[in-house]
Amino acid sequence: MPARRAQRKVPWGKLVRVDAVCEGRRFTSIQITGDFFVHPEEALANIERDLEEKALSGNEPDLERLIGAVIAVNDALLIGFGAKDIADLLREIKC
Amino acid sequence: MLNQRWRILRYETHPAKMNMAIDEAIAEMLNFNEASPTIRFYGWDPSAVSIGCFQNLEDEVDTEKCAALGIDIVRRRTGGGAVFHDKEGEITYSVICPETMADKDINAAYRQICGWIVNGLKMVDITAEFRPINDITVGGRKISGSAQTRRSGIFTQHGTILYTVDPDVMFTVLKVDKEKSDSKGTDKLSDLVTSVSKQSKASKNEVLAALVYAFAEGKDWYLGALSQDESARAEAIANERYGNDAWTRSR
Repeated sequence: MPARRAQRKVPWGKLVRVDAVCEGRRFTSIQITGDFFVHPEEALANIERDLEEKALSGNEPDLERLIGAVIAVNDALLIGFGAKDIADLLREIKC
Repeated sequence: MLNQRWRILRYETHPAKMNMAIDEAIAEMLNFNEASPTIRFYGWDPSAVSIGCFQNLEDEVDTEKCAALGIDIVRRRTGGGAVFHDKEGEITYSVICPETMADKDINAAYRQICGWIVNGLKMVDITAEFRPINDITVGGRKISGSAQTRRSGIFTQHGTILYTVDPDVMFTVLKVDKEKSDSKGTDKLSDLVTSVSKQSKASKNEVLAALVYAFAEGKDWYLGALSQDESARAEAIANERYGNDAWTRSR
């Protein structure tokens, strides 16, 4: 299944791209790339893994809060983008 | 920053993988209390493109053009965007110190160190301003960009100051997303950047001296060199990570 992509330049922030693979209505692979910052850097791969494990749907009503919780659990600081941007891009990809 | 003695390294040029590995080797030695807090200015030979650690290589860089032009490609361990490091036209800096010597707030640390660059540019009659998150601009055009990481209690910020720029080469090897250039209010890529040589008559050495002065101001410092251990460790890191295709293509 090929990855689908959505991207945005966050106003006053950075360029964020989300590539996601859908199986049925669920995201089974999520990769977030761009010129943003994440501290610590290793946290991004863990965030992607945790989001994949949740097998989220683009129609999830609470997507932003769920992503925010995953970011918080990984003790990550995102600079130049945020949970809302990831949620919006996943909604745009829409499995 | 706390009053600790800083080491300022003499300007040197290295291949891309060594430049990134030297920063990391210094950070490791600092973590073992075997190095001083360090400021280094350096160049790149051959010219290179560095990409941020979260960027997709093929999205950002024309790898075939780089190969044809003999331009190295390296993935940094810091975030941020892709940068073209021209062999002749760029001055790069790194500030590496214990986290306790840097501002705890990431944005404040960018502001502080970018302030040193703004002060250095002022000495060569360039009025520049810090543009959050991590850029410095002159008349709205980017002249400097920086990236920061904190690992194992060690703070590293590195960045570039454009001395001269050849937009044709820069935007041949870098793929600039249209959404990003549109957000800067231009569709002409060369309008995105400027350089010291377009804004001042100062020579590269004069700019370098001004930057060293601005970075060192108010600090206790000495002029030093890399230790043998740092150099050896940098060689190893360069081969293990920065010269490794699996790392470069990891996203």
